[in-house]
Amino acid sequence: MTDRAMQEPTLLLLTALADEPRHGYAIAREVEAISSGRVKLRTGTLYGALERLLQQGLIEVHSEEVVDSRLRRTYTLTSPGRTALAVEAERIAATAREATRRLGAGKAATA
Amino acid sequence: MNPVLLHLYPAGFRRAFGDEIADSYREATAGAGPRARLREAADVAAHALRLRLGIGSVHAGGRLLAAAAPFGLAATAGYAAFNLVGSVSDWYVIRSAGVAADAGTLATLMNAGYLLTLIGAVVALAGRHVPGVLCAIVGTVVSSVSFLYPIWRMPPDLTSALVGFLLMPVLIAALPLACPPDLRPSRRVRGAAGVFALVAWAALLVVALSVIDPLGIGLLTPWRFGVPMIAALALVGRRAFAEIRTTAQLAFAGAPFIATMHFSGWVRTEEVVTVVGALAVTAVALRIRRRSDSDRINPA
Repeated sequence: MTDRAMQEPTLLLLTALADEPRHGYAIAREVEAISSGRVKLRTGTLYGALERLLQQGLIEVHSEEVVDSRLRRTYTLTSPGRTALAVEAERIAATAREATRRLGAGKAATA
Repeated sequence: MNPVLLHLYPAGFRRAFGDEIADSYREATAGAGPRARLREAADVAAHALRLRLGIGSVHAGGRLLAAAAPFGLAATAGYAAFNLVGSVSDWYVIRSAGVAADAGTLATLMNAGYLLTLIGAVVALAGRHVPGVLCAIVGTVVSSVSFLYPIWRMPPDLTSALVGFLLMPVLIAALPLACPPDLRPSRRVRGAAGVFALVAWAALLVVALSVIDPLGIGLLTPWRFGVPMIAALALVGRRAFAEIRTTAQLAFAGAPFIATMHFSGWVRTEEVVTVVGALAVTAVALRIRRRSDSDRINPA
């Protein structure tokens, strides 16, 4: 199958888990920070995405603990999740490199 | 968290994620105002409803709706542009003939509805999904009601046929609301200025189509319908087409266009079979192409 570009919420979610495991609300806060406030994942949307990424095998449960008599789970990337994120990061970087190259060529042409 | 809210979820999901959702909701709404709390509650309720209906992003139904959403918007934009071009073109021809044209209140309201629909669909395709879709829905309701109002006293069998005719654009405009929020198309246009420019171009396209003599190329209805539809599909973008990977997704993506073409009077019922046949051929070609792509990357 040919590679497809990742949906932005998925990209941001995986990025939020790339450096360390996090629990639900912490993931939402990281997504908001990474997107400079542009993307706000509300609770329902967040857990809809988390359930999907768990099903797709891109993330997994890292740890479970009981906090205030409630179960709290942290999530982390799986190996396929890291690979998918790396592929998407390279795709975006390649586009940015090409844009930079063309801008430089255009500047030289008009100089 | 209000326990009623949590109990909206199916029992299995509640057992698996209930504690986390309650925690996350509590943290998200801590110190938040009433609007923020309402938005969080609405998001949870919408997610619970999707899970109960089997159209969450984890379900095949949700992925089908996500694949079809951009095409529903394109069909809505095409429908609105088609009707606007007809109205503006008629006004232009009458004015060119030197006759004072007064559209009347209901016709003006109807055209305002079409304009609102077009703006909403373009804004949604640009990436402002919810505001755009809601605007498109309001526009289709306004145009449908203003069309329906004067004919309400007609014979019941004709009225019921027309109600179906007018309800379809509203349903198609509302279809993208069913798309799971984490699978919505990404923003393709950054900044309000970009969205405004896109809307302006859409309006200019309608004006241009209206004043260019359609009879000159002998393709009146296809011109008025085809050009806006092609422009809308261009706005949908390659990425949305790349998401069409199964026959079911192709059928869902094509359904808004078939319904719009039929209820706009461009395609008769018997011609729908031809259009469906063309879709089936496309589905087979898509399958062959996907299979050959897969073989090329994984020859083993």
